[in-house]
Amino acid sequence: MARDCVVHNKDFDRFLALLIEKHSVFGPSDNDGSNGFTRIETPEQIKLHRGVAHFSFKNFFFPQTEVLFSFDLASKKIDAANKETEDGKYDILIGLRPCDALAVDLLDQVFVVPDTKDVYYAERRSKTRIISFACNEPCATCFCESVGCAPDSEVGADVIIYVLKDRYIIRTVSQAGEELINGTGMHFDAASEKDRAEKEQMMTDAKSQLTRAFSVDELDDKLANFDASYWKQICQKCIGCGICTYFCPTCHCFDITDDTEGSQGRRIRTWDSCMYPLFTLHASGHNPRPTKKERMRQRIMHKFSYSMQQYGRRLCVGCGRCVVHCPVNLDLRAVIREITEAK
Amino acid sequence: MKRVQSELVENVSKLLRENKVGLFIGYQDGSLPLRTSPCFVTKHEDVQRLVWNSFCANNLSVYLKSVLPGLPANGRIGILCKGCDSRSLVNLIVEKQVKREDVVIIGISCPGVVNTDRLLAHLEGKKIVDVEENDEDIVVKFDGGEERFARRDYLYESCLNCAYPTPSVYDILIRVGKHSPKPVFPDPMINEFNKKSRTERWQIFEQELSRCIRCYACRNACPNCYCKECFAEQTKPRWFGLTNEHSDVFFYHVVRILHQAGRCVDCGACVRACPENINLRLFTRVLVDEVKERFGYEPGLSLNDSSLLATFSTDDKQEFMAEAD
Repeated sequence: MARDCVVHNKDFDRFLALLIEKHSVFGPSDNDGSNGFTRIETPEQIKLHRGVAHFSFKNFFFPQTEVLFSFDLASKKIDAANKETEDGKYDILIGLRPCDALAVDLLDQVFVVPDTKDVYYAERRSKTRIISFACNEPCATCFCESVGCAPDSEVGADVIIYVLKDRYIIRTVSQAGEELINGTGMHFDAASEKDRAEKEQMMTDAKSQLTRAFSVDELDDKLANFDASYWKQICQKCIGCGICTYFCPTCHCFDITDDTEGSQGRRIRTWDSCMYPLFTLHASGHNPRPTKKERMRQRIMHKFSYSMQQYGRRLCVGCGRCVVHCPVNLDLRAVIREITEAK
Repeated sequence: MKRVQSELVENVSKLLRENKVGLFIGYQDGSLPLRTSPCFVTKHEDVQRLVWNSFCANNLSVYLKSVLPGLPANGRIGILCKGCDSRSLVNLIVEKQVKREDVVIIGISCPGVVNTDRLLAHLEGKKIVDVEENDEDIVVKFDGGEERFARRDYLYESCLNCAYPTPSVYDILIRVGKHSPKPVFPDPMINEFNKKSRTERWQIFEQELSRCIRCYACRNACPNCYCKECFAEQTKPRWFGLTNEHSDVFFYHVVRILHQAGRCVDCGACVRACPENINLRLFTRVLVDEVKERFGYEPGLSLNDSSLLATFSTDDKQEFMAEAD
């Protein structure tokens, strides 16, 4: 089903302009803002970063603050905040790296589940198409390869774009991606053997820049020991802020609170973090995760062990944002190594 | 730098061997170029991990505000303190969070810490293989060359205007070269800020803090923020909302900043921790200068101090309470 088209540099902006004309397009730009991906009005605004963008796409599907509904107790009225958009219309999220596209797929597995579908997430997700860009130049903090992702991973993308020297290969990954490309009305040449060979070479080069940060071969066995002694060493330097969880494209914990004034109010969902002490504080005053040891263990276990049991996948895509931003340089890669190398 | 490091290692090794401390908190090489990471040493055979260089940015006193998991039975903690770190620690002692006799302080007369982000921005993605430094310069070696940087030009702003590079309290002092900064009071950045109108100052506040993602890194990196339950997350009572809307974010920061009056030592840990590069120091430094001007007080300089907000004198300036405007 996948189809490889070729677009020369001079025509690429026209391709983007056609997308912008027909859809609301969001992508990385110089002005990332706190939403990560901003509305793109002209092709030049799209600025691909080396490696991943500062923020992931997470805020787009799962905003840090989301009003679920507002209510008025006096008139007993509820106003659901999620408005249905026009049928058949959809937005485009462009410029994700393959690791982020994989993270979209992982979040789908959490939020778009038949019995417990999150309507807010699912609504936005079903009306969005993902165009990712393969990664030619991984950063020193990238470790996608160690968690089973790759600079040319197509999981989660509808379309993936490979940037060659003087042209682009646009590869449709899903049926929706195929429709998206056809919808531009633009004529594309099919990629030749030469195009494909050049693409393969670029990807081989990109992969050669990645070093294996850790091996997950024995990780399941190691993590089976919940009471392992290494947790109290591993957590020592953690200062308990929420940076790793907020920047992580797959962390998805949230809190729900009511913001009320008089008889009126809003029910609001906000991001939460397992690194915060009040995250698990019970009404009784008991806290099952009283110190950073339990909290750090939870974060690692959820990403690398519980998710394996629940979905058969790990909730880490190797984007490296937690490594980049941790104020005390508590490097997730080193943590996993310490666990796998423990006796 | 090599001399300082070996002096440090020797001292820590001795402290651990003689059982004077059960744990030493210092720095080790980081996993990223031009970075260090806090390091916890409990065995004297591990002391070689300890380093001292221009990138020892974290304020390690932050680790003394809570009980550390895995703390050995003899309980005493050794800690490496730059000037600002020692003032934070003294403040923790003055505020009765730490007992003086529970800590052994190795002080380091600090030549200022280098801003890694600014160096990296200058090096534009070059693959760094090694770093060498002396009192004046930092030489960064990368694939295909090397570049020399004057330390002075790349220090953190908080370091450039540091008045107390030598720790105020210590048990052992290691002297490091010379300290180049010439502190200016009041801080020039604050002078500029104070010249602006109230509206302009509010605009700057809005502009900076609207980038906040409420990760609480500023709070958690600060040794002064040791409340067991932070008002920002408290549920009984709930003081304000958990959103990242401006009203909630600004409320959090106003209260956090005001709680630093007479306590902030201007170490810059909050700025370094912030993933959004918000100039949080701008607002706390206003308080630092104001407290010094009004009450002649600078926190963290003496163990005999009483906390500013816990003392009262009939001579205290109070005209601001009736300020018009």
